Amino acid sequence: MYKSLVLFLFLVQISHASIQVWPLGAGARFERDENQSLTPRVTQRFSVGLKTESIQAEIASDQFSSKSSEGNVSIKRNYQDFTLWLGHQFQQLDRLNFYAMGGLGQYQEIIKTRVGTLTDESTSNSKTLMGVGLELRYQPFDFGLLISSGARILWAENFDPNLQPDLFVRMGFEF
Amino acid sequence: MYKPFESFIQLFAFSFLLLSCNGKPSKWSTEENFYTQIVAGNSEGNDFKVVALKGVQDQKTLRGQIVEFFLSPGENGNQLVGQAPVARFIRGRDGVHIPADVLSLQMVTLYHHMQSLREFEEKLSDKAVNSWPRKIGLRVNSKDPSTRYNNAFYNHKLDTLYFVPYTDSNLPIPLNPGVIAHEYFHSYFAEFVLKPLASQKKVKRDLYTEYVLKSLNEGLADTWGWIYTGDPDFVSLSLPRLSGMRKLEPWSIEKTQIKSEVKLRSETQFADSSCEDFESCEKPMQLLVKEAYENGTVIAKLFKDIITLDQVENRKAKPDSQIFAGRSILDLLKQIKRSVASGSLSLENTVLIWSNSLGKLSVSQCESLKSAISTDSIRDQICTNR
Repeated sequence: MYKSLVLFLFLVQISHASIQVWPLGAGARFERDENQSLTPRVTQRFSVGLKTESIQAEIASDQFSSKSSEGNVSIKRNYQDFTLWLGHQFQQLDRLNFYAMGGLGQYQEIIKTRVGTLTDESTSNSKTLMGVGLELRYQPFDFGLLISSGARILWAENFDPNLQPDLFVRMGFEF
Repeated sequence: MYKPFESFIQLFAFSFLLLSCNGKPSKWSTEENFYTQIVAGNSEGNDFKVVALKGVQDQKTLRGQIVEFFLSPGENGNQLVGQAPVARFIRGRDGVHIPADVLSLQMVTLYHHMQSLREFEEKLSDKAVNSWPRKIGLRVNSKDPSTRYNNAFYNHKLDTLYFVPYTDSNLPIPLNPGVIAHEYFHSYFAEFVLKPLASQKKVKRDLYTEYVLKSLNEGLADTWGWIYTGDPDFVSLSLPRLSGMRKLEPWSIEKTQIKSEVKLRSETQFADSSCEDFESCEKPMQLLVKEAYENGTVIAKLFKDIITLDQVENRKAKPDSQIFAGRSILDLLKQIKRSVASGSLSLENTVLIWSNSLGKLSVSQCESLKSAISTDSIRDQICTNR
């Protein structure tokens, strides 16, 4: 993944694009729980991007954790993905911009199991993640503050359901 | 001329190439064993253990040749109804599936123990006793206040193991191998004793018979839990408050003897006459349940002592001793059914029948057995074939 980041930064250097940083982001991933119903996982999102007139690219990291316990057993699951998203602005209405996007990335999970004083930590192998989505961006002022909200559908080998719905809101800056 | 769109496409394609070359293990297929990690708990401590589950047909529900799971199931007549729980795993580079939540850990642990108990059964009997896959209900909502939490039980009408929610702070019952084996044994008792008796309408099933059968069922199930785990204190892993009562300590003469038929009948009569004095008493057997468990523990301690003496004195390997003990108990179940039919059922008589089935016994085994029997006529028959 770091190789993609290096390439991305290189691209910034050679292009005339503006840089976007999205330090504040939250979302909800809808996973199937033990009852077979969909349950939201609250995600934290950070991303940096590059935007030209109608095209944008960004690298985003989403993460969430979930915990279950019973008796002296607890299991904590940490999820993190890094995804390269490419977006195309297909509509602009005053300060509102509409993007269609597609993404490709990798995710990894870490399981920390505790039984009494005994602990185990296991890391999954990296798995490919893909997604498509729509995003609505709002620029309230002339300076670079951005607010956005979007919905995506994600696919990955081990997701359940697969396709997995994902909603997000975020705030960022454009330089 | 610089074309940003093309650059993005190239970057996208390059990233895809990187992602595709991460050397991950191939996807698990149903033809392979399902390698997973369970908690192996015993009185000496807990440990993680990688095991191979055989015959798993669906990773999500862990449905397979060994187990079919139900989450908070209900009953509709003679049918178990409910949806399958959803298990979640991560797969490490070594291909081992690590449970990602407690319910999934319980599912793989139960599957593993059912598989091991089946393998043990195959060593004991030429014919399969139980039907497979075994049905297991998790997070069962019990209507009975006494079994609403921190319990497990076998429903012989539906041939299903039930595990209710665990709210204590120790090893959850679905992860406790001894309790799993204990509950599993009840299916043998149902198959060899309760079901045949239910089909024989002429056989009298009075309160005394119910009481003795309950005592034997619980006692032999505790013995089975010990045979399977080698742990005499497996109950306390999950329910430490029961350690004193249920621990299968070495038999000693100071311990309570096995109750005679006279004593058991007197307790039965007392329960029968007292039930109406208690508002919460719906049937007299309710007043005898605690005693039945206590009687069972006394039986289990004696059986454990005799089996241990056999292993030590005859220098048997542990697996051989387990098979010897397991076969003797399965054979005993058929004898218990006959005792009920012939009206000769008692705890002491059951011990006599079992001891006679063991072949030649040592002096110390005979002493232990005789010290446990208070009825002269039965004690005199112990070890007569030495």
